[in-house]
Order: sequence, then C-alpha cells, then structure tokens
Amino acid sequence: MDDVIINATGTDLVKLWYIRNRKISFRRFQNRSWIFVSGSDYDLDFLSRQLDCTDLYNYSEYIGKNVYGEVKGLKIHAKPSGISDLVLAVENIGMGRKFSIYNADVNPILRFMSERDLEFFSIESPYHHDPPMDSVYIGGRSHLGSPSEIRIGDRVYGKVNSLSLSDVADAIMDNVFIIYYNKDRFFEKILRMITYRGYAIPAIRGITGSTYESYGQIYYNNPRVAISGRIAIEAGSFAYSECGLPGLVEISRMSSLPITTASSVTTGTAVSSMEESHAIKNSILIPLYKDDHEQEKSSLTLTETDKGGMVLQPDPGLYQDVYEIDFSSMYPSIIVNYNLSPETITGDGDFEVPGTPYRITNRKQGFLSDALRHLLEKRLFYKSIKHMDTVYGNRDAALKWMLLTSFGYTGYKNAKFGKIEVHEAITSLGRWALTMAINIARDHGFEAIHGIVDSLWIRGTGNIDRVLEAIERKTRIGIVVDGHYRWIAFMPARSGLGALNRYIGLRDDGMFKVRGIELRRRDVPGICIKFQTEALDILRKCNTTAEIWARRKEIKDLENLYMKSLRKMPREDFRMGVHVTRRFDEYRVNNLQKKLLEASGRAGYEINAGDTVDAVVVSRKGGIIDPGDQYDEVDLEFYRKFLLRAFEPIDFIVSSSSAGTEPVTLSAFYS
Amino acid sequence: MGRTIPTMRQSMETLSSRIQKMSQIMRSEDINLINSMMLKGRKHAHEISYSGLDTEFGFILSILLEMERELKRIRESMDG
Repeated sequence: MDDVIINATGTDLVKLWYIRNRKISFRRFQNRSWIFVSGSDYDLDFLSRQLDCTDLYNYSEYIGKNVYGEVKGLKIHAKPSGISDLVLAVENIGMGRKFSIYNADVNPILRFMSERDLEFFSIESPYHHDPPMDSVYIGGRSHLGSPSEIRIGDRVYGKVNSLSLSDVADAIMDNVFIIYYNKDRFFEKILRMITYRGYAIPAIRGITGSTYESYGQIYYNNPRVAISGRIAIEAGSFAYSECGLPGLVEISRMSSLPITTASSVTTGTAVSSMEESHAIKNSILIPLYKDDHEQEKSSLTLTETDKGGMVLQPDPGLYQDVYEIDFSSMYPSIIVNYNLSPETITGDGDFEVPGTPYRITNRKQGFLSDALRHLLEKRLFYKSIKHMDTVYGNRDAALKWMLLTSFGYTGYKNAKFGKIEVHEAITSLGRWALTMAINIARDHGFEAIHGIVDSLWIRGTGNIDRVLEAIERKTRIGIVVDGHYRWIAFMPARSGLGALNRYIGLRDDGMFKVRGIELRRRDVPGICIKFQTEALDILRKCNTTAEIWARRKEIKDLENLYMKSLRKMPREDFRMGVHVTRRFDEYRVNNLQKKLLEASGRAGYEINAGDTVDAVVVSRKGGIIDPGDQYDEVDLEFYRKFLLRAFEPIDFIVSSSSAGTEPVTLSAFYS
Repeated sequence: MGRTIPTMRQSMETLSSRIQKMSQIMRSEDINLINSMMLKGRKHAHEISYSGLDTEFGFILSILLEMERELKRIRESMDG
C-alpha cells in the first residue's frame, strides 16, 4: 500500500502525516502563498507604488477569474502567517472600499492540499476501506465533575487508580487516533492525574470550550485537547457523534481539512471548505468579503419568493396502508440538476424558475452546481450500498449532513458562493417538485395525506412504481419509497391542528418510525420512554386498526401498571436531561434550570450554558433538583404528569382505531 | 439565513390571536364557536401560502371550506 496522507499541521512550514502499514512518518514542505487584489487601474497603480516603497512583498500583474468572469489585478506573494497583516495594509491603503481582495482567508492547509491536488485519506475506489490506523476510545463517567470510572476501548475500569491511569497512558502512547470524552473536562482531568503521577505522555495543550447558538438552540462545545504527535478527536463533536470515525474521515477527504479541524467545525464550514477547495483546484478566486448583494425587488416579488419548503398539514388520525416517498437529497439535486449558482441566475436565462421572476442559464456550467455534483453523486452512491457495510453507512451519514447544509449556506450572508436569489430559486423549485409529485400521485390513484418539503405520505390503490417513475421524469430529481406503513398515526398539536412532525408508523418490516413523541426526547424521564417502548411492543403485533382496537385493554392495563408502580420504580428511571441555556445570574425565574445550576454550584460542579445534565426532580414546589445521588426521594406528582403526557400519543392511536380506517375528529378526541 | 417576511402560518397565528381577543368580552357560548372557527381558519395555512392569497382572505376561505365539509358530512348522514 502507498503512503496515505492522514493529517497536516503547520502554516509556513507544512508537516504532512503519512501512514503506511500502520506506521506514521512525516514530511515537511515550505508553504508560500499569495492574495489577489482587484480595483480600478488608478487605485492598483497607487497600491503597487505603495508596495514598492515597503520592499516587503513581491507582486505581479495578473488576470484571474472569479465565478462571474475575468478580473484584472495584482497577485501579491506572502507567507501564509503574514497574510492577515498584508490584508490589513491593503485595506488601509484602499480605505476599506477601493479594492476587492481574494484568496486571503483560506485555511492554509486546505490551500496547500488543494493547490497540489493532494487528498487526505485518499482511496483508489469508493468501495475501499480507509487505511488501517491504530485508534482507541478513552472515556468514562464523572460524578459531579470528578472522574469516577474509566473506559479504554471496551474495557471498563470501575475506579480511577494507578492501574487505570497507567493503562490510559499506554493507550495514548500506542495509538495514533485518540478518541476522547471530555464532557466536564473528563479527559483533561485524567491527563492531569497521569502527568501528576509521572507517566510519560506526549505534550498536551488544552483548548477551551464554547457556547454557541444554532437555529435558535443553545449548544456547548466541550473543551478539546491537542496531543503532540497524535490525532485527538473529541467524542462529543457533532461530526464524530453522528458519523463515527469513517464519517469524519470522509468529511476530511471531501473538505481538504485536517481531520482534527473537520471534527471541530460545523458541517456547514466543511461544505464551504469543500467549495473553496474546488475553487482553488479550478483557479477560481475566492472573495474575502462577499459582494453579491440581494437584487432589488418589489414587495410583491419578495412575498412570492421569500418562502421556505412546502408542507401539508395532516388531519390528525390513524391511516392504513400508507407509502412514504422521499426525494433523494432534494435541494442539492435541484442545485446540480438545474445548474443553480450565483452567476447562472440571469435576466435572460433559458429556464424560468416556477413561481419566481428568475431565469437560469444553461450556457455555462455553474460553479456551485459543479462543486456539489461530486458530493451529491458520492452520497447517492453510498446511500445505495450503505446496507453492505457500516463504513459505507458512516460515509453516507457524513455526506448527507454536508449536503443538508450545502443548501442553507446559499442563503447565509457570509457564504462565499451564496446568493439569496439562488436560495429562493432552490426552495421554489422544491415547492414545484412536491406539487408535481402530489398531482402525479393523484392521477395514479393516490391521495397525499401529509408532506414535508421533500417527503410525501400517500395512500391509495395505484401502482407506486409508476408514480415514482413519473415524478422522477417530470422533476429530474430522484425519488424513492422510504417505507410502506401498515398503519401510521399523525398526532394532533396542542392547538388541535395536525402536528407536522409528530407521528408513529409501523412499517412492513415490523419497525416503527417515530417522530416528536417522548420516546425520541432526552428531556423526559426514563419511565416515559420505558412505557412508550412497551406500549409500542404491544402495537407492533397489530397489522390493522381493528387489531389495535382489539388490544386496547392491554394498553389500558399497561398504563394502570405504570401509574400504580410509579412509587416502586428505580430512581434512575426518574432521571431526565435538563438543558441549561444560560448562566445562573441570567435566569429571571426560578425554573428547573436555575435550581439545577444552584444545586450544582453548591456541589462545586460547573454547568455551562448549552450543557444538558441528567438530574432527578426531588421536589418541584420546593425547588429541589438533584444532579447526583444526594436524595432518595422523587417528586411523584411531578412525574405522574409526565407519565400522563406519555400516555397521550398511545391513547390517541387506540381511540383513533375505534373509528376504523377514517381519522377521528379532533373534537371527539379531546372531549 | 432566515426569512424577511413572516410565513403564512405565523401571519395566521397573529390574525387568530387578534380575533381571539374578542372572546374576552363575548358570551361563553360564543367563545367555543370562535375558537372552533379559529382552528378552521388556520387549517389550510400551507395551501394558502402556496397560492399566494392574502392572509385575511385565505383565513375566511379556509373557514368556508371547513364549514362546507361539515355541511357535506351532515347532508350525507341525513341521506344515509
């Protein structure tokens, strides 16, 4: 096997990490870089005279190209570490408005790899596995912030003592990939204990955690650790927890980012890195600041185009014999198949985007559609073979996340290759495609009962294969049957209208698809999850609504059993995730979160905004919540309400089944 | 990211809450009726959004559609 690049570090001197037969070797390369500056001839002449005075930078006149076409300017050479100073100087000379600067904030490793057409974890065929690499998972459990148990791979050490710490030190020395758990600074504390006891381990550097907001939710990034000569990956990072090591490797391969960077950035950053890499490989300049402002438009146009994905509101109820059909990677497919890119949306294009005044030209290949094509094709490939191997499944998950964010990025104000009109054209084509799918399904004898953006639930007596074929032919977007349900229940929202994302469906293979109910949530106690799991086990035996109705007594008995035995349940079953979104002094009301922060503060245990902590409510009224094992009691009244709420979706299914195949009315359910 | 203008669902919720303010000074028998109408009015928010109709007109249309459905059901039950 040839040497494979698995990592790269450094800025002006880049160190590439190669692996061959599990052995790591390093090679170092000088890294030089440049930025491109465009402006009027007069301003560029002034800039060149200023550069001549300093004698610090080499420059040359250069005609480059951005996504829109050729640009004339100066190519100024500099060390990667000196580029930020150079940019500052150019901006000052141009008074912050006279010059457009390109290729100035690209990750130096990404640029180094892309300019030389190098790839991390390169494999000859997509079927091939990644090169064998020594990796180890080091995790464990904390009790109120103090490590109480260590896990190395599959081996669990019940105590943190000399033996377990010595084995952790050995594991660090013997492996290249260290996957570590660092919630509550668990791993950092273990490393400190190791160093204190004098075990030899490589140099270590801590990187602080941070709280951030994404789509209205507050999250906390655990602190990270860099270990010299090792590739250390935090197990709580989004990419690792969603896609595992093979998925993370795939993100690194696609984005040209070193794997440690890929593990710590969002998938959105990974996609934009992939686009930047594509631009560098195709000699397309990357703007430092995006200059694609939203086009002027009338309020009517804005009302027509500023819409998201289409959804249908389901009538709450129980339905039999339902197909769920899904467009495969709908939005990325639209970008690729309809050639959407900032520069292809023109006034005189060949194709009119339905529901908008925009037209798309097919006379030139769009940058965005070209950059995403490989990602989309690869994802669809791994989706089709993911059942063969978990590695393919992990790669599919990674690529799926990248594709998901690729659409959102087109509307992001700082996206280098994004434009709001592209974003609007994508959602508009998405709505059009779903409308076409509804109409085609209707023509083939199916009725749509629910739909969300790229998924449609239909029931009827037609031929489903013909429906899919006709939709794909019309929309040019792949569509597949995601599942056939023996029955599916769409739950009502509190308002009484059908909830878009609360349903339980039993597939032909006996598996449930569950969304939005307690079973899927972390912020409910274990008793609710246990109850719903057992209730679904009863319902799993029911192929028809009539069979559900016939088992109503079993469900009622189960509910009574849980209610009666609530007092006897193990304490751990009352533990529930409490999500903290701010600091103690920022809470104005005495809610559970504030009480939890108070209790943990007393115990000397720090909770960060964005953290979720498992705790037991001892007394809701008294404001006592226990993140540890300080109390034996639980607030039964508080948990009884939770349990009653967990009964609701199951009761809804049972009561709906009494009406046969027709959905029950809301008033009947709530009366 | 994010939308510049509110979605039809948000607009209808705003309209609905404005109308529901009436219920504070209504007779109790009318409150149930207005609540039921609010639900009917919001039921087709997504279809109305797709069509591009005005919020208020769409809201009324949605109520009429649901009333028509109820009438049909009553007629069918009487015929049956």
